[in-house]
Amino acid sequence: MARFEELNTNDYQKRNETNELFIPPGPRLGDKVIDVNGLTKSYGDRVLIDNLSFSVPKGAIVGIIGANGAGKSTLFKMISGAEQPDSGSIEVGESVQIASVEQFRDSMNDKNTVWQEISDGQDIMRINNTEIPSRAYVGRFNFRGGDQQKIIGTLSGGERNRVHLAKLLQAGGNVLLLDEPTNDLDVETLRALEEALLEFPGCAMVISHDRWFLDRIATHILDYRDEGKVNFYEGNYTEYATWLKETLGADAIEPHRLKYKRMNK
Amino acid sequence: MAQFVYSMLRVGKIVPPKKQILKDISLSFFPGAKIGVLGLNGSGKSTLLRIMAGIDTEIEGEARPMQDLKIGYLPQEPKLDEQQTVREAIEEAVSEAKNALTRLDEVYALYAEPDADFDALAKEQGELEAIIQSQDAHNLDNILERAANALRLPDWDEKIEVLSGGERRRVAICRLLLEKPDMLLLDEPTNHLDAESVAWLERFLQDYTGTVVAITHDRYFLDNAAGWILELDRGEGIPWEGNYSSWLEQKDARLQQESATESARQKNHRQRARVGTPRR
Repeated sequence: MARFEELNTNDYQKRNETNELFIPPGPRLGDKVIDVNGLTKSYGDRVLIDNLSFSVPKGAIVGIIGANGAGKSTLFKMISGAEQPDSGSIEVGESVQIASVEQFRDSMNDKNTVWQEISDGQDIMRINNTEIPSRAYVGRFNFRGGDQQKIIGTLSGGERNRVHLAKLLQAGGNVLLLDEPTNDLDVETLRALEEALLEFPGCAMVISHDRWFLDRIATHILDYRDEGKVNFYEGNYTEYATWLKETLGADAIEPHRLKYKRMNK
Repeated sequence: MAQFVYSMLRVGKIVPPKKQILKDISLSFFPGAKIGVLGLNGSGKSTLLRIMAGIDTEIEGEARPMQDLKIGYLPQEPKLDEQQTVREAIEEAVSEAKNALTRLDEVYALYAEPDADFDALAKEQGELEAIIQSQDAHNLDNILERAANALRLPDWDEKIEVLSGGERRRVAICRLLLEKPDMLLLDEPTNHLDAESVAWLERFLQDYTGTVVAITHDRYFLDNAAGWILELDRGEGIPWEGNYSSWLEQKDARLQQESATESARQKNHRQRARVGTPRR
């Protein structure tokens, strides 16, 4: 048995790569997912979102792009109910169960080990109707062998990000709100996350700046432009960028400092 | 003999208690090469960059830049002067050009002095004009504005101390690019940038005449801008001439070969592992 353990650890030291990530399917999703109508939201005197309407169809993965400070996370807060729109409405379908990073961000116990934090100390985790050995679940987020014993307080940014992701995904929702899940993930884990999202039967809205990632997974793009204008486009990132260039000219894809629309009072 | 901008000879790094992060890395960097560094988290990528930047000197072997090589390094958490404004932090990067402009005005004024030494003034004027010419200093305001837009910097008058982590990184990248060092060492330059800024940076680095070594997970970046991929795997550095897509192909082939040579042991081990797996 001791020798078996040793073999096991050796193997982990050799190639510490995950080729597999797993998102447990949430409860079955109805036809109505998220309908946004005439949504307007300001922060201070800046209009972040000006009269936005879109509908997330069943099975969609919406990639969200735009400059920092444009209000991408604010949309998530409104969808999960933490903030209210100034006007307009967000209707969430009855069958929808949202899993969002907001739920976990500040609630990590720095004294826990990675395994405790994700598994809550349970050997077997129950995610919807499936039982999974917790060590195996944590392993799928690229924490192998000894890494599962690392203390949360000592983790690097990338490692913390993976703990967040593991906690969020096991929540078993059918609509995932992911805020920059690709930051600090190595290329192997990124590929694994792409595969997992493609297999996931629910919906996801994903804030990301990783164009490759968006091209692989996104069915729709939500792009924050100047003055609170937000484009909703059916297609992946490259298709969107091409469309933007063709309709608005080459300047449209040149980054510039965001122009905010000021509130008229 | 080719002139390398940077040479590493049998470089190794051990952190206490006894963990070998890098071992026996021997690499020579061609001028103008664009190198993407890949590897799992914790594989020593940041350590490699710190060694190349001359910050981490407690190493085995030798790491040596070409004489007078100007190196610009972007760490994951760059240090900036908290008291400066964004404009001050950025203008520092172009101080040579800026100072040349100011001094040239002074020189013009000095010509009017009664006891002016025309020869000395003419000489200095020539030198200053050369600097201004080479750095396109008359266009400076324009250059700064363009760079600030491309990286979506906060307002010019914003104080560094109130900026978020992401904003600080963008200021630091902007500053570094304007300094135009001979070699850029970038640790995760695309984190905290949005998709359009990443695309801009990719184009900028493609055209950059200096050497670029970048740790990044951005695969379009690696595909379009990198001419070499340096993979760090279990302490060793494995260079590959080509972009990300070509690297992926060769890597799959290499891993297959590796697993073939170990297949006997692996197979045995897998069977045993399955015996102990708890049932659902």
